Amino acid sequence: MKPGTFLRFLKYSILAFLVPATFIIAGDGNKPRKCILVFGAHADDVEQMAGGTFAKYIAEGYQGIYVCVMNNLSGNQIEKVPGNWDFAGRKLTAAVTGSPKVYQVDALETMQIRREEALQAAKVFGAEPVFLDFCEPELWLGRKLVIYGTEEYLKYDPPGRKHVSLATRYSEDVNFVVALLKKYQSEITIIHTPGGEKLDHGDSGYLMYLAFKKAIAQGMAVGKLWTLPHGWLSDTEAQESGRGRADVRMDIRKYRTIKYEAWNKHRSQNGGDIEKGFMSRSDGYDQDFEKFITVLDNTKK
Amino acid sequence: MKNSQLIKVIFAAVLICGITPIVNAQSGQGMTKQWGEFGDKPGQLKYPTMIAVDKSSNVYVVDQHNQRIQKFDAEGNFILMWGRLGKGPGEFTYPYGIAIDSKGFVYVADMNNNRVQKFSPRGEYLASIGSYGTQDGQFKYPYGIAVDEKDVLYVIDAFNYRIQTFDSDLKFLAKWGSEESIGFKAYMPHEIAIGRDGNIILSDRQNHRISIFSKEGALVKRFGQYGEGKEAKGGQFSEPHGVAVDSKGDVYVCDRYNFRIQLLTASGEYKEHWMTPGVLDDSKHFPIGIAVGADGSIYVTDHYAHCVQKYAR
Repeated sequence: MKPGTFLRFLKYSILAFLVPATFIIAGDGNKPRKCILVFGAHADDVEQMAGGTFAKYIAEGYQGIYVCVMNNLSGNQIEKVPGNWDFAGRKLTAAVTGSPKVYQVDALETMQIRREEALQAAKVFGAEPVFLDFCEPELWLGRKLVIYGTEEYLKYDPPGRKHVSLATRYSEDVNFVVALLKKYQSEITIIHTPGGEKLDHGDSGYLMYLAFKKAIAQGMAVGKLWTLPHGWLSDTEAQESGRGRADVRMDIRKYRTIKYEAWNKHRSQNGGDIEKGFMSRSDGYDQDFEKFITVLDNTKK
Repeated sequence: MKNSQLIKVIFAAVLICGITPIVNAQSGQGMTKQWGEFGDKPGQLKYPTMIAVDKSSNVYVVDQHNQRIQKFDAEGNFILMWGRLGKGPGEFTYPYGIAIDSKGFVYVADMNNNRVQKFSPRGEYLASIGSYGTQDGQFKYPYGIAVDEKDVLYVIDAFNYRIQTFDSDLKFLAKWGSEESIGFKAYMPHEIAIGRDGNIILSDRQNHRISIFSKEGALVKRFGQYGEGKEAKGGQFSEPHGVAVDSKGDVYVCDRYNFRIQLLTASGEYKEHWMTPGVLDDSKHFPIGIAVGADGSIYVTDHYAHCVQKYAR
């Protein structure tokens, strides 16, 4: 074979190999992976929102990604332990130390405690924990609550960091979540109701919603985006209009044990006994079914 | 002068002159110096935590939210500083505890990086031990640290609920402190000090108690109970934080939410206390770290006032 002929042969051989390989890679990239991604604003929100669904999909072989959106700097009452929470009276009746007072631990400690609890909970699910560390709209300094926007808050938590209350304004914050969606290309993604519930949850949901839309626009293989039928979507007018009605109803009875086992790991939040505590005061919390609204469906093109 | 005017004059006099007597009413302790203010320039502080004093009376302060260590002389004059936010050698992510060994080497609990770093007295990085985990030499948030007379380093490994010990080369030596071994769960322990008798003194914050252990980790004594506000008696605590020992072996405790320093004997009997400025403002102060210099001076960090207070003994 002449050298020129050999080189042409080599070139076409390489091309012949590369072209189908490109299609194979592109084909995989355009199909969501068997992965479920649940974005909880805080460590224990994953369980409350979708713990049963999360456990169900993981049992079916999906990769589970347990996401804590915020850094959990607030929300910890360290002495909230089983038997101490008087749900009717909305007060603590005893404490682990025997002290008569309830203490908010410092912000950094809260973050550490809740992260530890989240790691344990993710382990129960067999999921991968991911901490996005967006800043909270409030924090505790000792026993003092400091609210977002105050001078003292800015001292502790200066602007320029990832912040869920501001996240929607800054494309880099959205891009941060888009990168996560690109990494996992999950078939199912569950978020808080955009703009619903309360400030931190609603803003968290809206940020994830924006990121999901952007991921679709960029051609990423993300699947379905589900949100909770809470917040403004659950008001009567919205329900009657059909715009706020759940279209996904997940039977979680087989997975309730896992859900509660994981939920109980958040001892600083629920005392480690969710059935006795949260459930006993939450009329209407459906323990058998979890419901979602399909907000975006990238699988229907 | 009318009675009402007289009362006003007396009230004004008390306001002008009476703060110091009120603050020090219990023991005659006097604050002789205070330095630091909120900021990130040399000499300024952001949420200082623990403090240590070397043999030459140099004062090392963990400047937590500036992610650095600052070194001052005994009068609070800035000498040098090192560190910045990060995970590399000499960098910190929310450092907490600090201790100095017999040769002047400085150990820092780099809390959120789950490691302890060793530095020269000038802040040059020398060595490090630790990563996140439960194995020997790993940590889940190291808080307070202390060095004994043989340069053994004791580290509170908070979320592993244990104490780990290391030699001066940061080689792992031992661990102790599990609930099974000591008979109770040390709940959010923060600070540790070495007694003159070699025993280990631990402030068991959320239990509002002080515990004394042998070097091997056997519980020797546990004392204190919850007490807060005007009713709080000597020997009662509300979230004790920093602990330090003076040359006589007496123990100083930062009694956080009582805004005071308590002085106890080595065996835990209450001797006296004095108030820190927090008593005048229930939310903007609290004593967190404490160290005693060779001359008996007492140095206290005020976490929310971003300063160091020096008291004469």
